[in-house]
Amino acid sequence: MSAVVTALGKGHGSPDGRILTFGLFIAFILITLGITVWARANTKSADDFYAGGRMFSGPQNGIALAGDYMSAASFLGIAGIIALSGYDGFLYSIGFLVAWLLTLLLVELMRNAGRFTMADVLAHRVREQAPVRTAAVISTVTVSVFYLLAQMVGAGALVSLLLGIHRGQAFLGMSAGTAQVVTIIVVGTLMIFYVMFGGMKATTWVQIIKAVLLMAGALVLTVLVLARFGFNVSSMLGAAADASGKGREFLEPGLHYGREVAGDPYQTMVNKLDFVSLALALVLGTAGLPHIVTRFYTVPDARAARKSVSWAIGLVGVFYLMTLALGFGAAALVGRDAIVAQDPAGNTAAPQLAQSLGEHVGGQFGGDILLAFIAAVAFATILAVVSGLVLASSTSLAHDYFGQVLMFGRSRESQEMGVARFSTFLVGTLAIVLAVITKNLNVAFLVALAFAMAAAANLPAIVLTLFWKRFNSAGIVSGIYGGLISSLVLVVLSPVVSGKVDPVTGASLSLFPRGVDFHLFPLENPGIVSIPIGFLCAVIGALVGRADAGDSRYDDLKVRSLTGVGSH
Amino acid sequence: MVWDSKPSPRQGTDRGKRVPPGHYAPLARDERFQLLKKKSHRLALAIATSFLGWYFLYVGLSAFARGFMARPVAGNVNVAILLGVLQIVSTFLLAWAYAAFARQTLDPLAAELRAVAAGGAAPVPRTAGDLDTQRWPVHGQAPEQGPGAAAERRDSWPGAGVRPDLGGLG
Repeated sequence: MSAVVTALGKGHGSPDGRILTFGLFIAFILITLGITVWARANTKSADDFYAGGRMFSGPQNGIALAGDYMSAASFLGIAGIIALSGYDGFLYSIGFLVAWLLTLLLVELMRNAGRFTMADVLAHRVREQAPVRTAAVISTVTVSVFYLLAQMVGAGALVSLLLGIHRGQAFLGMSAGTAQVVTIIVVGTLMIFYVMFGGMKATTWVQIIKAVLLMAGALVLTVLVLARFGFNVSSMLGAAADASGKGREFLEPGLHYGREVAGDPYQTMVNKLDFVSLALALVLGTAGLPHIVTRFYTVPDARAARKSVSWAIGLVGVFYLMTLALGFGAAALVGRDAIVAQDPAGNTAAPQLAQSLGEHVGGQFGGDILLAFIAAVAFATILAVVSGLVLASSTSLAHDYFGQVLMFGRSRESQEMGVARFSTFLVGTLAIVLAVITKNLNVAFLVALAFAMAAAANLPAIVLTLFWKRFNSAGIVSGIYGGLISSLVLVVLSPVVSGKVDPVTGASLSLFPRGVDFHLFPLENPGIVSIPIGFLCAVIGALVGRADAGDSRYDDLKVRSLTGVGSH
Repeated sequence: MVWDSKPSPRQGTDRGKRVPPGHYAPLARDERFQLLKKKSHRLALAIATSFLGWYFLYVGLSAFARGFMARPVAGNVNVAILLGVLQIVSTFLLAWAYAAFARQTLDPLAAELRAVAAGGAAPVPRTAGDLDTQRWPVHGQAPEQGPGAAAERRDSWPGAGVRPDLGGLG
């Protein structure tokens, strides 16, 4: 055991292992490029590009949904939080899962009433489509780009870590900093390539492969961890608690979220409200995430869409149960010190656990193989999720903005697909540039922000469009902008942007360096305030604006959404 | 296998057909639609309130009742871990319950209404007085007038008794 820890402390994997990892990366890239070439030949219409021809089955799309959803943040991130802070990582993952029940309630209605995007559903009952579609496009692109940025910056740091390139070391002649930039550019270029040429068909197959690899990798690690403890969950938890140095508290909520600050009841309450705010954003955000919504349209009908969400719930739920074993297993078998030595945020806990387990089973070679496999899974995860995000943005830009707003719905399919490919290039390049610029900043908060924005801006518009007769275009527009702007403003004024200082080291924990402090809003997650603002703006806007299209369009939307008549 | 699983044949007709806005609105007055809407809304409300209530109870306990969450249950398993796992299990159960109810109760009603819209059979008005043939534009067929005709038609629309094949509706 101690030998393993020392080995990990010195470097990440042996030189052979590093080449193996690199080789698996290349293999994954080659396979997915092959799929893209195949998909290119089979992408002829807008239905193909935006919705994969609507020919995926429920289970296939369900696996792809799970693939879209389980980002590197949830695989490596949650395992890392559990490994370092114990129970709270699990608490976090449950919010991600429960959110799918709301998605399940909305998926059939949205599949029936829409064509490719959320804006199709919203625009259905209004007479003046342009303002509604424009608002939906702005919200879609903002949410996607923020989420994308978090993934790409994370990818840069992660791949360097996974390949074991440390400060002062070099791999293929690259230092850690160069490797980070190269990774961002390679990941971004591949993502642009998959989406531009393969559209939804390629993206979906990349998601399916990734999801299967991820589930398989997690399953192997879970079985190996449990085997080490004689399949006794209680003794695994006990060993993790003992190794953590925090004892029983490690198995209870409160080490990471809603931390209690002794002698400071105000800060304690702020921390607890912050946690509730995060929970709210997670649960209400998923159903409004653009890359999840566009996936509702890749199946032939609402029944298949329902089935795909059921599959996603099963896969995501089982996966988060397994992260419990990964996180506590890493805490017990790798140990806190070895994990923090690699990455203070704990993102390498799962790969380190893989190496340790592999070495236990098959010595140095076994460790190399399992580490390489898990690193490749993480790489596949990053690539797949960023592709889904960039596709969602370009679909919205091409179909909603170009096709419906600029061309009044009269664009030719070939024109629209050209615009979609061009927007993919544009959004992808923007994401690469932003990621390279912000590569040294702590942008992990952007994931939670994307969920909060989706919940505050998109969910009120979706729910009220589907269920409130009096709702209208003024309500949709004010709800989307109100939710979006309030989330953004609150985050800019929050401690994640300025004014948060590590009490021990004095280093800045915010986006801005130490000394810059303009924070006015105490919570890190805006959801608890911005989601009610989003709903309120939508309701007030609707009551102030004139009822725009009469009852017949609402009735038409109800009939379509509930029965599926006239669906695409 | 999932790899070669093919989607079921597309359900419904009139797929993506360009129709004037509000085209299907008259169907909203069909009493079967009213029933579908009522049942669907009730189901959604029941599922939404139960999972949101249960989840935020769990979040609230995690934030404000840590002593309770720390109580041991068996070995090193405490209430917090037990409730967390129960959240996952309840999510599975609620998803299953929703899908089962939708399949058994909502899908047949929706299928009936799609057949009505496609076949040009008249919607069944809620009351005889509601019968307004001018407002039913599908295929331009004017249904026969009179409350008797409407009541009779309810049983004689093309798919009555024999549900159209909707692929795996069970």
